[in-house]
Amino acid sequence: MTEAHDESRTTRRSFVDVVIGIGTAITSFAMVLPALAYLWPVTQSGLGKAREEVGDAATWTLWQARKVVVAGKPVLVVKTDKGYTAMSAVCTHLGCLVELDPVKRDVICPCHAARFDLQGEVTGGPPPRPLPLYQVSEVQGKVYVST
Amino acid sequence: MVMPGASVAREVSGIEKVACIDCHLREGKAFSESVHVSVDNLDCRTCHGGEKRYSVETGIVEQLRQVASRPADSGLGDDASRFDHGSAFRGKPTRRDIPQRCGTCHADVTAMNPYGLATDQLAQYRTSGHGRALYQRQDERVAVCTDCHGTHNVMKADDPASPVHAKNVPDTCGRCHEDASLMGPSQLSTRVVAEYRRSVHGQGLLEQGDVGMPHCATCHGSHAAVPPGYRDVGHVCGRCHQQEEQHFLASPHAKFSMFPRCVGCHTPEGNARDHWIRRVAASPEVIRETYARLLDVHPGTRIDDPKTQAAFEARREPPVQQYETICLRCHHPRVRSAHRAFFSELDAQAAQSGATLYQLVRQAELSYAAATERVERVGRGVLLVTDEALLAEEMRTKLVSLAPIQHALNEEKLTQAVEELNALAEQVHTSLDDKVRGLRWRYWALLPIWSCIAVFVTALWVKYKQLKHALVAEGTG
Repeated sequence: MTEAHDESRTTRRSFVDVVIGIGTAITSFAMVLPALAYLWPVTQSGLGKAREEVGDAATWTLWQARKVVVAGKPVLVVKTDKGYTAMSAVCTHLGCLVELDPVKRDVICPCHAARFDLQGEVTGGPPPRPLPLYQVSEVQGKVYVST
Repeated sequence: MVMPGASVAREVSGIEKVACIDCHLREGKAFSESVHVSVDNLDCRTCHGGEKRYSVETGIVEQLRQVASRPADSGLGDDASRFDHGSAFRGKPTRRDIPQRCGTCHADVTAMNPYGLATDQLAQYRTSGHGRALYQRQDERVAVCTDCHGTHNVMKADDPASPVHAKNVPDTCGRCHEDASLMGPSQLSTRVVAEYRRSVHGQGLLEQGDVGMPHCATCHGSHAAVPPGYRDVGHVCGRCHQQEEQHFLASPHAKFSMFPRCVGCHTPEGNARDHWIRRVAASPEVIRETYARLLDVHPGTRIDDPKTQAAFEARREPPVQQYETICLRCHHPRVRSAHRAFFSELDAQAAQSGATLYQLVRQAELSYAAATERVERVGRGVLLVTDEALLAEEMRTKLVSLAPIQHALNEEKLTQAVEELNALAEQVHTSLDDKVRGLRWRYWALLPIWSCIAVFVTALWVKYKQLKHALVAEGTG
């Protein structure tokens, strides 16, 4: 009877030790994980600048345009024969989203037929200002846009 | 050489050299602040003739200043008659001479070339309503260069203080065009500037500060200012509203020469001379705001509910009644018009078509409002809605594009555009549904996590009790 009682206490103690062991391991892992993440290479620039990956360069064909969001703002990124160019996708007239005209190879606003060149300058229509430009870079096969 | 006027006393002997601005202080100060001050070889003599410097008796300059500062209408006579400015002096130009005087330089290609300025202003002015009245009818009350640009203080047009800066043009034109004594003889309306100030263009320019908005000179021309002819109004508007004009030309209205074009629908009574141009389509911002207010009052309302649609229409600005009243200006049996017989047979068809077009527009507006408002409200929580916000911007573009398309009065074309907008709305709702479902799943996933933590804490408590018990037993043993 005493042996059985001792065996029962031993089993209960072992179970508690196992639970504590698992819990301690999980807690330790949760503490070590941020330290490991800190050692991981930085993929975003600092100093308040937004730099966002907008796609793989390999999947981007010539004269293809993509609309992406950088720092909460729509941006039009175009792959031209001279590299990538990125400009605000918001027309400076009434705020419509502009598109690439693949035939004329310039940018058109579908709302009021405004036209911009690939440097964002107004070439036709009512917009009062050019489209602001963004910086584009290609690093290790990835395309990044930064403000 | 110089013979001071009778009012200038000869009290002090001796001679001193003075320039124009030594006596004409006010004009000198204004000129020093003008764009002309930086122009080489341009001084008072360019416009007025005379000498660069004058020899006067020492001590009388102050008296000369008093003479020069008298207003022209003081009744004390012309300053020029009181002071000998020399044989080359041309004096103050008459109003008839002013355009030609300014044109001495401004119509000279060689002189204007370094500044990149056009040289056709004088030629344009001669063709304008002002120029024709001045030269053909000898009416000197019409505007000449100095009335708009100023006299000695001429500034660049892009200088915010210039009377011809975009934001100041309505006031500058209004100085004459709101004056009944000047407009009366020509039977011109004095309400045009007030109407413009209330218009969508005037509010954009004067209240919102958008200098891209058209002002008087944008439509009428500046130096060649002349009212566009009745048939030309559409072309004038079409210079900016290219899409609208393009769609309008494809509409059944375009082939009727008596149709009052743009102003027929966009002014309160379809009067071609009315400058109170109004928008008929509501702006996306107003649509969203209207719908948001509706949601605040009736949370959980659905856009396919007729009550919601009625409530939205009641709050929409501009009011939807415009669609009916505008069409019925012509398409109504009681309308009396010499051309009435030409389109009376189309009244029923036009009424039905107008109702269908409006239904489509309202459907698009509500669809846009519901989707974008949902993105906004979901985004206020913990979920990231970047992709949905981009789709909402695409919807906004589609909605703004609907306004030009409406001018074609083509149901098929409009239906296609509305369906594209609805497809985007569907994408937004589907994506948000997925995210909201995922969030709920994550909330449920917290249950096992908290259970594990509870077990861990309980185990620690049991271990603590065991150790405490063992220590007590060891101490007593």
